[in-house]
Amino acid sequence: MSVKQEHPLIIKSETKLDIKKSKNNEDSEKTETPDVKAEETKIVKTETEPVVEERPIFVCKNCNLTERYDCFNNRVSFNRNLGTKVDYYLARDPFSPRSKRQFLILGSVCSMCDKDVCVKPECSIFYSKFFCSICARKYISNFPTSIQEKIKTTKRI
Amino acid sequence: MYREKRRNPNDENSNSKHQKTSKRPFTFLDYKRILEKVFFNEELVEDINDIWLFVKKFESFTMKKTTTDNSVVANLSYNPLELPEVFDKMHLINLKMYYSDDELASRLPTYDQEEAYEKRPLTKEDISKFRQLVLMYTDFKQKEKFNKLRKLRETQQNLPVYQFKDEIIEAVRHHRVVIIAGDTGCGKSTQIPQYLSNAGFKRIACTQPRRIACISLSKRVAYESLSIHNNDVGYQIRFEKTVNKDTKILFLTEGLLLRQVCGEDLLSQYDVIVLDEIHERHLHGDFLLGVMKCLLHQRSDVKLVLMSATINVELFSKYFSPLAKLIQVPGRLYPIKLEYHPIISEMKVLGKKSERFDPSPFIKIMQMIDKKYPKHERGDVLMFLSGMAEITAVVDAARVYCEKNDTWIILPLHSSMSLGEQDKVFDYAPEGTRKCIVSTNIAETSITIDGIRFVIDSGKVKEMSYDSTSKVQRLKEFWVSKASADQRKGRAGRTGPGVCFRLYSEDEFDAMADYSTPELQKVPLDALLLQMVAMGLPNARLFPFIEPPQPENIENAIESLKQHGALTKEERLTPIGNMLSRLPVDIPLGKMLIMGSLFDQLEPVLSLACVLSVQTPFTNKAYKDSECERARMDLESDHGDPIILLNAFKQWLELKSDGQNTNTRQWCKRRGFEEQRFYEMTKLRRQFKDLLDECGLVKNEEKNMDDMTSAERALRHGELKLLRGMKKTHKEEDSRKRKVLKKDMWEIEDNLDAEDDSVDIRDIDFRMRHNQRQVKQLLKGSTAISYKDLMMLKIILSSGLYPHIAINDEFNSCKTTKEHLFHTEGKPFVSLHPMSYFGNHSDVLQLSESEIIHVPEFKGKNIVSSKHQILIYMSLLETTKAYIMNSLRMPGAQTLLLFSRNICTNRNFSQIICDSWLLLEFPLPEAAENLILKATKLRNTWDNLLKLKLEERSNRRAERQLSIDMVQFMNAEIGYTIKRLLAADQKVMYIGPSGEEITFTGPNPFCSDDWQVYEDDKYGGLRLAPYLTYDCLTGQSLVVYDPWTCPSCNSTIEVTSALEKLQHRQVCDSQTTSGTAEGEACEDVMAKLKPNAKRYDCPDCPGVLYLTPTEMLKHKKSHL
Repeated sequence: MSVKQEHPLIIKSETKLDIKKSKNNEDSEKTETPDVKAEETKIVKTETEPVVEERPIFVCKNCNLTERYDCFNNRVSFNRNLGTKVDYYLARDPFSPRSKRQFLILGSVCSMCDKDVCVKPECSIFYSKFFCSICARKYISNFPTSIQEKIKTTKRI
Repeated sequence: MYREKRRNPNDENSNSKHQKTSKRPFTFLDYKRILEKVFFNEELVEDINDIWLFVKKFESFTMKKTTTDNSVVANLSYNPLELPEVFDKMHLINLKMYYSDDELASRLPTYDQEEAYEKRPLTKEDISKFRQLVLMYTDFKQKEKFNKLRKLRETQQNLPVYQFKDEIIEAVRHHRVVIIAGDTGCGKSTQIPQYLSNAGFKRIACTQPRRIACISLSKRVAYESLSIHNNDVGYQIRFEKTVNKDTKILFLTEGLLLRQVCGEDLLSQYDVIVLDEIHERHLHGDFLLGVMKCLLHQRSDVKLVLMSATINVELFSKYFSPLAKLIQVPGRLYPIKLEYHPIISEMKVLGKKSERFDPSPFIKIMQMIDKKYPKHERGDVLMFLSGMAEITAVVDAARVYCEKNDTWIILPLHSSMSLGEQDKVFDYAPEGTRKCIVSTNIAETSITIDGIRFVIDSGKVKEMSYDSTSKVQRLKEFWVSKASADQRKGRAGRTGPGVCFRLYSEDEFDAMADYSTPELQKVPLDALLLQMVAMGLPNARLFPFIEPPQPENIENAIESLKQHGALTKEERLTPIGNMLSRLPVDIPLGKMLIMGSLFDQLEPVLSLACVLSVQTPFTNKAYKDSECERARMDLESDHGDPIILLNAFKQWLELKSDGQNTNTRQWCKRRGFEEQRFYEMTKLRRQFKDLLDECGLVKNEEKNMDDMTSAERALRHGELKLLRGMKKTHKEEDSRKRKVLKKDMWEIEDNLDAEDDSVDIRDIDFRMRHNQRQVKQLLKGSTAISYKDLMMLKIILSSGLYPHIAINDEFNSCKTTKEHLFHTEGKPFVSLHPMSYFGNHSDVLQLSESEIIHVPEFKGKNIVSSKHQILIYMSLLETTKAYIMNSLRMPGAQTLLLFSRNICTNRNFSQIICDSWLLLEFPLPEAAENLILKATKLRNTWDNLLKLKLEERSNRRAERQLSIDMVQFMNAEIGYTIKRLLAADQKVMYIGPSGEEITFTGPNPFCSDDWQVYEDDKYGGLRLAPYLTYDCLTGQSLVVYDPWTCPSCNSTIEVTSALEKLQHRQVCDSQTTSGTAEGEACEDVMAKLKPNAKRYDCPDCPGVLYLTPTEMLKHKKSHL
């Protein structure tokens, strides 16, 4: 067991003096190396944006809700019992333990205009098919009366 | 892609009403068991009970409404959307089940014993109906969860820091250091780690000054980033961690990150290091800042984010300029009304200072709140008090007040409370009540409790300060700083407009200091400096502290480290220092551990070190309640508090090991112990052991289960499985529990049996970590079996704690126990802590009449006895008085001679001064001579063996022999007096240097020959060993020596001093035995132990070895 003498954290005495100097004399700072280093990293960092290998992201075009999802489908691989009537952006339910195998419906694609919107009542309505709120209002006369009522009363974003 | 799903025609037209046939309306609730079998497995719904609640509600709702028929035919002539022609509310539900009604119906039992089923079996129609219900339920659940998500996102976006999200991410990408200054409530601690994680940083370390903050933040951030159920967010504190390789955001304590810096890889496991709450200026925080400054020079790829409240931000920004970018985030504070209510007590008016703390002003404010603000207006109260005693006083008074006015829930909050109890402050008060949190300054910054509307600020804080010269810790009450007072005020305006009641005047506020003193200025720096040297920062004086501590504190700490042998004279790390730096404990405790391993007493010393480094398990109740005291009687020991603590730990382990899962919670409550501390001790013990294992001081045999038989292993496997299951259920239940506080909470606390049926999660944890055999081993390791073991334990303890010694005041015998005074080196006139053993039994420390020896020819007023005792203590604590904490009694002269750093003697050894403050006088100089010779031999042997041990070449037999000799030495019967020297005495006692060239010839009986004897430049006389100066005292130096006959060679010689006598004897002895004078102390013992060992001069090794022929061969081989 040897006594640790050399550690990368050891600052050479000159560097240390530099720190002292820079404290005393702020003008000398600009000539110091750390500044140059900061510039360098700046360049390097902007070039190599960190690669994100993660779950894809769903963004609601209506309200900008941004969430990661697991699949776009009418079912999830981990639950064989329950599915959705149309394809949805589905995520593993973050509010229940994994062992419960629950999923959460985030949103889908409007069956009329192909826009991604979330399931918020302000953003979409489901009646046999998935409609974004804009299309729903546009084709309101084609819905059954009770649904029309529903479309009228929901707030707009 | 958008396939129209084939709809089961049964789905649509199944709404017909049919259940009016029986008298009792049909309900699915009667068919729970069957339906559960038919429909549910674990995947369909999260909680089966929840769906039955839904069914119940739904059925009673439809009953009242007498079901309006939904199947209105809304025939549309024109249908461009291709919507179904018939309206059905089921079309509104976007979920479906993957089983057809036929399939489900086929699962129906043909015969069932249940009455309801016999009367009216379920039909396929029922199944179809129930399927709709299930779908409606899942749809409802989906909406509920989505709303939860939506709310969460909205709250996040409403935080002030959200406006700066992009700016912060950009800044971190482009600058090496980013300082974010934002007041509490701006969301920086919770949001910034998430921003960075979402921006692509993969390993983010966030430090927190407190453990509880690590846990609560990691919980919160995990919730917000939707990762409660995975490991993306974790925490790591001293004894616990929830972290694995997937963890992206890790909350850890500052101390832990510092330990990680000590590793070789420069924290390369992290790409961003976030230091939070740096304005708090904790010791570790300040140190980390300095270390980070160094790290920035070494690692160009690491990003540093500093977060602070808007307190003294310029200081940090200047410290890291020009690398730092500063971003200021305005806090979100609602207006806070400020009211000054200075306490005007009668005592103050009379000009007297009242000693006792008066809780009534706090109660008055509570009354005022009750009067002024209606109960339905929510808003809790947070009180800031200085310490535990004050908190208890206010809590007690408030609970009395509550008896009349049942709208309050009183919760104390103090760092010495268990984490579980601390967690209660986050729970909600039920409707119509307010919770009142009575806290220390712990709630000032890091613990943020929502819903506080009223703050009551005493303006006081109790702070520990340290005097490095007298080694006294002071716990004193001070006024807080302005920054602190404002911080406290701010706590009232986090969730809405609030009120802050200051129990002091505006003038007093103006007189406060601007900022609080950083911790660095008020604690011992020993451990910090040692850690620094070990990290490779050899000169603490040059370390770039953000605000350097007093130079004399650094010097004192370095001096103390040298005294402990952790640093050499040249301030290089010694092997023992290196080992000490790796143990996360105070230096005395670390030393104990090392000595424990040397003397094969590691197991008990480990336990001892643990009981001493964890907060005391004794609660206040333990001393107030006579029943508790009686229950604890069998644990007491007249050796002192450390042994009593060890006994308590041992008994607790005994209960744990009896294999019957005895309820240790009750056992602890009955005796007034906080059980959490015992769990902490076992955890710490394991950690210590791992550390010692790493240092090569101990073989950790408990690590694996290899020593178990297969049957045992199988049994253990089953047990573990069971325990894991229990833990999992507990965790799930715990997270689901709606946390609403109960009104009569404190009553439950007092009730011994109330919580016994609940799962003791700590017990489960404990059992998961230890199998029965391990507990038994723990138990064995916590027991001092014989007197010899106990004495050895005490010696080891003393070796670590020295120079923390105290002696009796000479007038104690004529005083009552409570008035007894003691003297320490740096601080005279200290008292025994009233809650310590000796504080109640100080008679144990007094000499009895039979122990006093009357020596007629011996002049002087001091009492001669062989039974003088001194106290060895953990620490001195000054509150209202200076108290000795955790003390142990030891034989006086023996302990002093064994551990003093500086022993001065006169010419015939009848006077000995230890460490310049204690004078021992011996009526029989020959006896003294022997005693000191023995002591030096023991010391030299000890040193040598320790050296070997640290080089991993330990000599077990010699070690054992040494401990036998040591215990014998401690029992030596020799009469002497002990006296404290006053400053005036010290001036005249020493001869002083003569300045002449001295010559020393002949063998040195006190040290090996490589020690260069010289005249001490301070005391005069001869320095015969690093710790021994001979003939430097003025007393009795003129004794005329008669011719003396050597007992071994029978020749009579003229001697002029006791030293010459000893020298002659040494020569004589070495001639009669085979040993040589060289390095005799150590090697004598070894030669004795190995009869066939011979002196061996290895050509490749420095020094002389004593080896047996086989060892010699082995040794030669090692050089090949």
